[in-house]
Amino acid sequence: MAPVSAMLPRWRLYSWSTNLMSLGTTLYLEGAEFQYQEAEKKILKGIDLEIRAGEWIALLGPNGSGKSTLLKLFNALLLPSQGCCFIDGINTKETNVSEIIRSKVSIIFQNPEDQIVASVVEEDTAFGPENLGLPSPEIKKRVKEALTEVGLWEMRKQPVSSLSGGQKQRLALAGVLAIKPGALLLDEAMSMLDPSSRKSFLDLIKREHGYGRTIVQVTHRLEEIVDSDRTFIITDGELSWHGNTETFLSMSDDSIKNMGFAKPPVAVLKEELVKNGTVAMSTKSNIADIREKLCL
Amino acid sequence: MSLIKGVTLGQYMPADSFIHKLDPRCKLFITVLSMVAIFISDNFLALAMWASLILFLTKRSKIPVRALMKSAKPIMILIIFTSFLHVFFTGGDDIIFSIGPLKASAAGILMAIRIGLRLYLLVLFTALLTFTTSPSELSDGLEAVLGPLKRIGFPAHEVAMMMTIALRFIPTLFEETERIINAQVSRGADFHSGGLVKRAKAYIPVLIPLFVLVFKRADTLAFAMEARCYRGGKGRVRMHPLNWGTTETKTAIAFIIFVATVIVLNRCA
Amino acid sequence: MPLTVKNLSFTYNLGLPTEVNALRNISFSADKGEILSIVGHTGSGKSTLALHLNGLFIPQDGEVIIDGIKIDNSHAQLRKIRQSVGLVFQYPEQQIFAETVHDEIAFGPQNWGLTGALLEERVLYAMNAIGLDPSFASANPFLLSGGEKRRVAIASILASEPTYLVLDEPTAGLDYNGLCELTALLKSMAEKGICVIHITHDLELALNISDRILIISEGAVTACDTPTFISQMLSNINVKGLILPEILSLSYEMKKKGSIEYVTSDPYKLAEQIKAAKTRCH
Repeated sequence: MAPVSAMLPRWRLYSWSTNLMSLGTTLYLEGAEFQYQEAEKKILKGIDLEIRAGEWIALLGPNGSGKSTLLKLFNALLLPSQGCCFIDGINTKETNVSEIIRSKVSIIFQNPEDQIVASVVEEDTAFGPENLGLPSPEIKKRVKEALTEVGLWEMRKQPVSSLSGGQKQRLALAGVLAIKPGALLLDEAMSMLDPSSRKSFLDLIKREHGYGRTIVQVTHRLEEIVDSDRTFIITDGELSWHGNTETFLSMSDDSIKNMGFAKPPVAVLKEELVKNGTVAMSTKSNIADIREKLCL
Repeated sequence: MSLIKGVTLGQYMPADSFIHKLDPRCKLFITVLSMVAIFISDNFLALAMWASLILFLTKRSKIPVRALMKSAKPIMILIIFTSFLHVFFTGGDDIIFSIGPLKASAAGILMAIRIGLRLYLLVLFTALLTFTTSPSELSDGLEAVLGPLKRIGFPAHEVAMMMTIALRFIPTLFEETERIINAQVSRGADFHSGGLVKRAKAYIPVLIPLFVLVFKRADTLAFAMEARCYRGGKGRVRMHPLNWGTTETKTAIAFIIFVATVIVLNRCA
Repeated sequence: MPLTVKNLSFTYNLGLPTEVNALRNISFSADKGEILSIVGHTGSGKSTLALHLNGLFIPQDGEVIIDGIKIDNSHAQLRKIRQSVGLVFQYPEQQIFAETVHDEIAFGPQNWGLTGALLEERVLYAMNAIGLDPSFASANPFLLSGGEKRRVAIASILASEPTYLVLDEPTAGLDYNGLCELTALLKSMAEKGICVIHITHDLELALNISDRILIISEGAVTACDTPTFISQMLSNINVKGLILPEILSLSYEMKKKGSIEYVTSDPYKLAEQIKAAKTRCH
């Protein structure tokens, strides 16, 4: 990496790296542990996991189990106190890699208020690309693309304070899309939204996943993870369960409840219908498939 | 959703106007120059000229005059208080009335009106600046103007960034403060009765959650900024680089001529 | 009814170019011992309505009457009303200030003038009601988890022994267990004869736990009735930002077509019915 970065201007490095590889980013943890220096308690204990490029991962766990900390390891906001974290093969502990890692992995937090920096919609979207030192026409292009993507282009000159909660969260998404990351980390990004804004935000995430971006989604609502590929459950800083989301969702109502979650009613309905022999359906079917089978 | 939202000071109002499009450095120059000039204007003709200039600029920038007037509201008490002091402490022979040892002279009253007007015009002028210039533009302008000081170690970028964030969070903090006040009033907090000490004490349950929230917010914001590749001013560029064109030069010259005229009038009249 | 809102209207920034009609001619009433959910989209005016219920906002137009007392500017009456109507806000972080959980919970009753044994009794009652172990009393509330903070916030309101409990979006951000605990708490409060007014944008939750639901949209009341009635209504008309839970809307649709017997929100029962009906594609 070093000789290339020495030859290219700073902004070239990023477009070069995203052009060369596929859009999705791989995330890899090896025996990762985390604890704050003065604290006694380990927040994360020896976590090994690999997230492949373009995968959609649901990261579940009770409040305070260490999910947010895990996400922060992925974009080098925190460094593991033991073990390693690799992003597209780059160790986050290496010096001077934080910027390249953060241009590959972006995070969206729960409260949009906490992550919007500028007072005007388009200026906030430009914040990331500006930090990367991109040339002005490129920044403008990215801002336009990102705001169009989330449906806020018409409101680009509006003050941030005039946006609704759902719009603010979409702005936060635009702000990271303008960086063109290979992976999106969502830290309960939908928990403060009302159901309709939640749905439109989730649709945006599905679209980004469709483009090939890796998605890591922390949530409490299993309705939101139906489209994910795999599920990881963190309890007390340890990876207590992992496997295919289909496998997870096909577990019995009670065992999911024991793990501290509520099974989505649609998944229950589908299973019951398959069980009682009314319809045959693949495990990964949603309400639309059920309607189709029932001729609705 | 906020009671305090009525406060318009320091808020940007986007519009498509020639003043909105001016280079922020030009606007900063004009504002600073006019601050000085308004401060040395002491005759009423000069002040009237300033008032009409502000009215003209407001019209040109498509800002409702009402919104501009409203922006001075929170500072009104300060202005009135200052004027009030001048009524009694200017001195002069022709005493018009007196309250105890305080004597109000005709000169004092005139002085009070002048001072009050000056301060009011100053506030309006700065409000006009913030109405027509987005916080980021303003901080860009500030950073550029303070740029030369970087050489002697002045953190121009940091100061500008702090200003951007401060302006960004003013509406949020207002809302937050209001919610905290509501929560405590619901639990019987009383800010209106008792002596000064008691009333000041009543604000503790508001200030503590506010500070805690501000620190938490600052913490997450720092993470969010870092996550979006922020590493300070080094290597950072702007989407709209500052551009000082002929419009700016013309505006600045026109403004200098205006100021010169006002100063001359101020001397002669 | 003990809590009555009559023709209430409210406009923000009245007389300014930025004025917003937040509430238009709202009327409803709530009874002791019931859970009334107020459901509406973001910006529907439901939070503004909540602020009217304990006199944080004085009605501009129309009236709010609590136990026969009409809310106006009278200071003494406002204090009385705020004692009987407890308002729990969305974020416990926006109220917690004391050094210990005990002091945080005692804040309300102290402000109403309680001291000594009576005060301690109230604090104990509130902690008990909310299921907080007495050992928490000396804990630092800032160090508690999100769910625990929320419980302390609710306890700090219960300590005033309100007859009306208004909760603004109390479930946001809670995990499943937290949600179950909270709904159980609301039910037990209602059983104790408290009037629970639950403000939310979560229609599904409201349908599950309420005795009655008030639907508010664009600042006006769309309907106020039982969950059954409301869900039936929503299966026929669209209200901004409110979507029926999928199972429920599916079962309404099938009922209309005559393919199932009765409407249900239970996926097991729906599956049974579908099996019995033998609906299949041709």
